[in-house]
Amino acid sequence: MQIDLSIDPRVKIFHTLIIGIMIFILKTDQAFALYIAHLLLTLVFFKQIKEAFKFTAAFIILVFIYFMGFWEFKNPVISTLSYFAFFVIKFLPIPIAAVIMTKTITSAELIGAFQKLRIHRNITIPFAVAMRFIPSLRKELGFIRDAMKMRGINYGLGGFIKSPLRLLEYITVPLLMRCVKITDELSVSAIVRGIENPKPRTMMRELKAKPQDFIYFSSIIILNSIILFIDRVI
Amino acid sequence: MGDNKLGTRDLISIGVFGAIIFVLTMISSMIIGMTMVSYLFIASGMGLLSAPVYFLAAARSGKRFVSFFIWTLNGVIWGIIGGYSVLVSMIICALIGELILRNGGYKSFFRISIAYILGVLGYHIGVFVILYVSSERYIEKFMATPASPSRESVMALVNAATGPLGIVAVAAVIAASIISCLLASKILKKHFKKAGII
Repeated sequence: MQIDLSIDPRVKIFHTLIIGIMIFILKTDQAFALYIAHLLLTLVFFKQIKEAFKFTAAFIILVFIYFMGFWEFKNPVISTLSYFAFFVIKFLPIPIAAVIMTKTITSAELIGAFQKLRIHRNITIPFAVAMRFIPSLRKELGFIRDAMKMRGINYGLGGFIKSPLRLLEYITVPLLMRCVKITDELSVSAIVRGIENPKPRTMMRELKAKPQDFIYFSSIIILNSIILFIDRVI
Repeated sequence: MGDNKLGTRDLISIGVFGAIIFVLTMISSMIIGMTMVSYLFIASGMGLLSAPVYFLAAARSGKRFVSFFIWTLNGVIWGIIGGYSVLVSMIICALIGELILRNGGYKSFFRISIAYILGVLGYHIGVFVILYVSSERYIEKFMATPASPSRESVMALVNAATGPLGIVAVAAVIAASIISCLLASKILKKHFKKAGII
């Protein structure tokens, strides 16, 4: 028999909220680096190895650029780049949290979790749709770029400088048309699956607090407290 | 079920279009916020880019609370990633916008524009409200991150925001939103009205 070791989506939502608080209260570089390491390990725990690898590579490169600003502080280009790297490092936990929210929680789990938290469906459904849609937006923009390439439209910086309004129109209109289509298709699919049923939604896997949820929950609290302690005391 | 009640299609369109507005805001804020000088104008990027998306969502549905939930959804996502002041101010501005829309129909271009400008202002207020309420706390919050910019540059930002440049920033946000609204109305008339989408 396979043992179910999945973590309750409510605990993952709580973890995301904690990430949002932690990035604004950590003061020292060391604690922040530890925090990023903790988040990368969380990604590994959720079997998001590829994402963890990508974020680790990005973090190392950004830290290198950031420290270059200290060594070459008189060079204006490097110090601007260093500031930019600081800005990206500061917000690096957010895309990591987004990966936890979008890739480890399915839409059905998210809606189920919100239902258990007694949040109204007018917030639940748009939020679940938005969480699913944000990652696919890049793909949609890629299709538009390919279509522009085929028609010989310069979509780079040169094209933007030459005629910004036209380029904006060329990107906006197909994107919005596509969104209208996606909205209609999603609505039909959701209605067919009974989203408009006024009765409480049932789930194949019942959302109940399991021992692993308590272990995960307490380890988040302990790890975050240790990092906060290192940040404030050491 | 009343005609004006939000259906599944409206809720899904709030999610899809709200997500695009959030992504546009995130990208424009990251670019504009790269330097401390331009940081004050962080909401103008959102104002300049998001109107076509917002207009399409609001005008297509034409129901109550669509505008409110688009801004609330954005506020909730900002709240989850730590921007609680943005969450509160966006909900307040969205409510005022909703009241304006309620009094004059949900398809009036003028009223949708005002609701849009209010939503963008909600983001601007949310980002800077702590600065105006207590500049010391704002500096502390800004500095309370690793690799923070120097205290002098944060002080310069606070001085600029509390001086005439603060008013210029609000004017820039409103101007960018108005330009975007006009552009959105043109794009919608040219492409979406013809296609029968709105």
